[in-house]
Amino acid sequence: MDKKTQQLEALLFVAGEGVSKRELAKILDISEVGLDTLVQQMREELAGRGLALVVTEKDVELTTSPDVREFLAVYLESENEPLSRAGAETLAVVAYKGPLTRYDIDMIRGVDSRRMLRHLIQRGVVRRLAGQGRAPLYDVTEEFLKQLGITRREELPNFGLEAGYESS
Amino acid sequence: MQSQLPLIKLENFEGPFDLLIELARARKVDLAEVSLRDVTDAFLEYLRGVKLAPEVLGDFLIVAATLLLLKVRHLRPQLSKDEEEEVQNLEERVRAYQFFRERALWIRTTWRKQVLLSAGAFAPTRELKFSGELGMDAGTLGGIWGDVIKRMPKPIEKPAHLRQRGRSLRECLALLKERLEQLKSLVFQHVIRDVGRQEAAVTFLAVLELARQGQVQLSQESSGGDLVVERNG
Repeated sequence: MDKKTQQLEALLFVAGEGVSKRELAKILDISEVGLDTLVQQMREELAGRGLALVVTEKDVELTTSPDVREFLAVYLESENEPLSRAGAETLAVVAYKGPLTRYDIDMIRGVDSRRMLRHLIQRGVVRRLAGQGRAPLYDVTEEFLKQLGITRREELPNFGLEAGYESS
Repeated sequence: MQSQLPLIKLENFEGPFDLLIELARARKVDLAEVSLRDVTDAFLEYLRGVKLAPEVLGDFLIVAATLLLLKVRHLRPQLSKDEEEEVQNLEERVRAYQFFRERALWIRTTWRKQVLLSAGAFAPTRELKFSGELGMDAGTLGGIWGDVIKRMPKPIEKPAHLRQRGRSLRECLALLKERLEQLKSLVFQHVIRDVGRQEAAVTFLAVLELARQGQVQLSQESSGGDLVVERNG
């Protein structure tokens, strides 16, 4: 492991939560593209270990590996605030097709998603991004990935098949 | 001819597409096989029979209108180009919705079942041991602590009858709602400008409660900036 990757690993460990890629790049004094390479390297190094990297477009977080999910589940208090159908539906759209505007989400769901999006943002599983145009975009957070026990959105089942479903 | 209508409770539907898919399933056919036209009658029947909240009624009506177009197309094959587009659009959208509906089911059943954890997620409490590295002994520490205590302001014993009760959460909620009725939106910092700390805190809780109930929207342009409380609807 080269020095920068080592430093990245240490930073993520002490942070104990998601850190933005921008901030990491700044601290490590490298470009964001360079950071992506390091992150990829770290992912490979962590393969088969008890830890993993949860990565979204914006953040990186060091977490336990999906391989030990079942093992750890025993120790978790199941404080289960279950997800409603509408919540799961909205999350599905945002996770598979995000980042996207509220208009696009409404088009797919066929209903107004404003209130649900606010609720999901409050729960920390969706975030709002500035869009290039006037409308803000919505995307899932690393917290969303963690709750599902996956490290990247690409690990969602049937990911990629939604590509054909454009909004009108 | 209309077969027996399946007994499905309308309040359980997440929207018009959800209803369409459920109606098709009730006929035990794949939505791909049965055309939307076959469920149009059932769809309209339900709309007639149920009372929908105004916010969602529009969504259902739009779909109902397109379904009617579908029926018309069957009777009179020549639809205008726009109408044709609308019909195809609906079919595609229902298909797309079905995809996300299935994904949503997976998300719902997998949610929080086996999660990934971050550092310290359930760290056992550690005993705090005095570390010799502090560079001082207990005597010095005790002296410092003595200074700290001397600097602390003495609590002023207010005679009981002078202590102000302060507004309760319920009162703050009522007050806020009243102001919002008149003003539609207000700035939190202005509301608490002339009140004491306790009331400011209770007012803040009231604002959060209103947001939690969905009665207001909160927005803040920048960290520490004006917190705008806007009435919903």
